[in-house]
Amino acid sequence: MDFSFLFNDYVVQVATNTGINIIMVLGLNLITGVTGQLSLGHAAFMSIGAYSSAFVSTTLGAPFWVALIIGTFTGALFGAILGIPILRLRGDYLAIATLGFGEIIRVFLLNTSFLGGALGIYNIPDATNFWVVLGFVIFTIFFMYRLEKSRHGLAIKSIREDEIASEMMGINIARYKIISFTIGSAFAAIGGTLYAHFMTYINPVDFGFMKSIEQLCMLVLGGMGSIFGAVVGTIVLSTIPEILRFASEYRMLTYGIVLIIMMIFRPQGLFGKIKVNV
Amino acid sequence: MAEILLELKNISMHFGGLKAVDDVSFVIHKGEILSLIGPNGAGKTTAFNVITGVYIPTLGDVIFKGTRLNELKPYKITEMGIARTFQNIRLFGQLSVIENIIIAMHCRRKTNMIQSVFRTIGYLKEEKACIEEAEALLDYMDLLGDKNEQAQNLPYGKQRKLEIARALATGAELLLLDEPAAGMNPQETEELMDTIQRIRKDLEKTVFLIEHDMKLVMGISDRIVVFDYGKLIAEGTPDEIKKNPRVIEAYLGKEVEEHA
Repeated sequence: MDFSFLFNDYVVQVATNTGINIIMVLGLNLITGVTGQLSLGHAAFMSIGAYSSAFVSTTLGAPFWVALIIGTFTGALFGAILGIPILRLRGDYLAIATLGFGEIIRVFLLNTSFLGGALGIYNIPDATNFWVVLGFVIFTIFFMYRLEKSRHGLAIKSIREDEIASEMMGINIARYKIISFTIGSAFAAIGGTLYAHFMTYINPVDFGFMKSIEQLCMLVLGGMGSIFGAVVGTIVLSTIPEILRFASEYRMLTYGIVLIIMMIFRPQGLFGKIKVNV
Repeated sequence: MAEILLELKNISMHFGGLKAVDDVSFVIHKGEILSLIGPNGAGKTTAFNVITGVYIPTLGDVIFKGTRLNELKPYKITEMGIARTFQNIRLFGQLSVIENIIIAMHCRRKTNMIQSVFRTIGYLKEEKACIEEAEALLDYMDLLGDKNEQAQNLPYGKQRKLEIARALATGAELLLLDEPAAGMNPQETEELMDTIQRIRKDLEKTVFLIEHDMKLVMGISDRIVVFDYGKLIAEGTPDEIKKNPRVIEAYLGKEVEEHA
């Protein structure tokens, strides 16, 4: 059979974008689904990765791998710095704090001239492709799976189940929350770096509040706390708008409808087994 | 006299104007079963929360094996050897029974995150030993048959047992049990008494418990301390406590003299 139709430019582009989303949504899954800390600012860490890596590869001419490492570390660093104060907050307070952080980063990027301001950064080297992204997707799934099954993963899950009991059983909850937030942010930054070097053009609008919500929707649809669910949810919500492209502006409507139906009939998500109280 | 394991020195815990615990001092000896009783709102759970680091006492010191615990974080206190159960069960409900136990062993394990993600030989060895120990503990507590069950699906009595097992898994020397018999029928209470005594004897643990069930308290305690309105009003053996007029007054009220 001829599968060459699968490899036309358009399909490869959609698949690459889906892969990038999977990496970021798995990062969010660690923070929200596994640790139980609701984050509405995940796109901010994506933008930090994208901007820091794009800056070093355009202005300083750094090779892609160096840019990737710098992007990831900057994302992780911001995750840790932000995590220390805000992870004392719980539930909706934490959600609002992360949302606020997301907006601060967006406005900062919009008004910082050396990062291009509203024009963004263009002429980023086209250094990534579907196979690189696929490699990172596989690595991310492997890493997240192993982490969840490990003793540290169990410690993190116990925070989601009952913070007080967890601390009373000898878990340093502050430390594990920050670790989880840092790792989750690092994966968002990896996604952002790949995104920047795939699209070759970024601007602050790409990383707004809606992007964070979109990632959260993918996770909720697939099932919080489930790696398989997060992957499927991301694939579904990344491809539906493409498939429905013929319906032009109504296509985004399906997004909302899918989520409403899900919440009514399967609130734990397609493949979720657990209830996350955030 | 036996060795002192935990000492409360003039502990006061104030919440604004409320003196939940007011200038209380007592000691727990190694290897004993000490009960804390008192009417509702007497400050019993607050005392537990002060010992385990949930609250920092307004005044006074908590001393465990010669170390002052006051400003330590709860997880540090657990690492040092004090573990507790809760009045209203707080298990990790959506995790399995054995995972609940393994989480409690976390504080005694050494491998770091990179070792555990990449499953180095050292990690796998530690993990295997840990699972074996967890299974042995579950077997001891008669819960091995449910090891893969979600904790929230266990019947009530078993959930209580699992809480005690989880506290034991931390490796703590001193167990604080907050109303372990709450909601149990007489037969289950009987079983629980047996379990507590076994734990003390076989595992050489010290037990400090809050309980309202007088049959249990009088049946297993070596000593009893009594709280009323945040103050320690009596301390002694079960027989002494039963006869103590202040205790009777706290529970039943003062006798009104009849005038003909």
